[in-house]
Amino acid sequence: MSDFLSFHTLSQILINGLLFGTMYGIAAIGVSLIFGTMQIIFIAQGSLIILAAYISFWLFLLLFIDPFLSILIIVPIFMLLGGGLYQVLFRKVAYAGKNPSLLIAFGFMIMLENLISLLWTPNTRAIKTSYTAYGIEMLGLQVSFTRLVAFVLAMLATVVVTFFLKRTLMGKAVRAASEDLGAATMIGIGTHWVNSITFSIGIGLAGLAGVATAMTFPFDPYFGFIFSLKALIAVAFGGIGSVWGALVGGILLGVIESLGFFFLSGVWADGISYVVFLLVLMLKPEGLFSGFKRIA
Amino acid sequence: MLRVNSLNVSYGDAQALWDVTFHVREKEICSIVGANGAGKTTTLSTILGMIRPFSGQVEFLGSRIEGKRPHAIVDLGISLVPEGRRLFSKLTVLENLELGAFAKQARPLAKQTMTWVTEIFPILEERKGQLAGALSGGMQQMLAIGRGLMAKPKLLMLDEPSLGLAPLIVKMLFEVIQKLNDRHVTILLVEQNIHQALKISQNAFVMKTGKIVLMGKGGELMADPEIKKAYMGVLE
Repeated sequence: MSDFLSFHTLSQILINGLLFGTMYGIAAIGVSLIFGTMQIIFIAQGSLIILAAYISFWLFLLLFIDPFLSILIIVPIFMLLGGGLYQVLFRKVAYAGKNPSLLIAFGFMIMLENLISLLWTPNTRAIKTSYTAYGIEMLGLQVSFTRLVAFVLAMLATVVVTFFLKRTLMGKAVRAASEDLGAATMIGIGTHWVNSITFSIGIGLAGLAGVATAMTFPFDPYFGFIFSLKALIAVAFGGIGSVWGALVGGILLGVIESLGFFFLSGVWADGISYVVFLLVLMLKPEGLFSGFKRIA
Repeated sequence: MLRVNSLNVSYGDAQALWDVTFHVREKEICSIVGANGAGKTTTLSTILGMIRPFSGQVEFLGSRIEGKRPHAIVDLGISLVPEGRRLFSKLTVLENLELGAFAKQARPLAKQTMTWVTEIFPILEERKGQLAGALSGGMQQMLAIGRGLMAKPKLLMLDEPSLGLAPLIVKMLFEVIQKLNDRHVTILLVEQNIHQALKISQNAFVMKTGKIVLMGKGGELMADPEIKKAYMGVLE
């Protein structure tokens, strides 16, 4: 037993899960923000992440742009894309209830998946840089360099988003609108404007998550839907409307999957995360961390 | 300053306002009184642009505003303190006030306006770090009015401000409204607390099932036997 499961192995599993889970975490923050104001699950989030992954793959392959550098290109572009996406696809139906928005998001996801497989073929891709295989020894544990960087980026992004929501007037307006959209409208906050902002941030985060994914894991066009589902689970863990909750929920999901992968098998890893998802919804539907002070 | 002209509004098939016509003059307190479901809140929502009328005009300071979006109307200088206060309970008192000045015109003046508002409601300054949801009912109403004032309104619309408040707080509230009016804020007040409302208003309208059925000076209406019988519970 001690050979099979030493403290060292367990720590290694936990750290891998933690690093992988931050991907889910950043995806979940975007989903959570958009849900806050639009009241819909933005199901295309995962596919946008994969789109960003493919773009950084292309930038790397064709233009020799390092993934780290491509973050600076892709995140701003995705932020603009997010705002534009709202104006073009969702603005018209914003007052028509949730169903049209949800259907549009679903259709958009299918369109993206097919567009991606048309442009890049459905083959699995990965970015191989000179430092992809590079690992760091930390307290006797092997930590992949790229995954560690992705983790740090996720933390930074969360801090920036929290700062925006807590400290700027625009961010406060977003929080106000996600609490009471009608009241926000009455005091002169434009609904379309707030929705554009949340889309912009949410999709910007998808850009970041996409590049981070491309650096650390192989991906294919249809992984996006799974990614959206995982983000949804992470949001449910963290409680809707909480930025840090979403991040921690994502990390928790990563750790659970990593443990399931090790103790049962890779086939079961997904199954386990859905079982835990159902358990959370049944036993603590308000999220695991409710009762703590909400950040946003 | 505000002219509402034969306003007709319906929710689906149900018509809520029938030919509502009234004026609010500059620097006055004007009240709309009446029972539940008379269309008072609908009238205010329509003025603010939350609901589109199917016919009729709303004119504010000489320009037509019906059909404009709420943020544009707030920007012109109309501010609504909604029924039930509708504060952002998970935001602090200070954040609620800051958002009150979100409108384009008001935003650059937010700091000065804040000083003005906290001078009227010193308690808000003391509680600025607290979550709005943690305040007592009376204090929440003060904050809601404060948030409305942060928009630097020329016309402040108050929807049932005394609802659910203790009598002593209600008395304070009407004093505050009077005080605001003394500082040249024009006020359009919707109230079920008819006695108090008529006492402080120069002009008043009585609404019943979507129509204006009576109008007059606040004092005259108070003496009206019909009003006394219907709304003030005076026995013959």
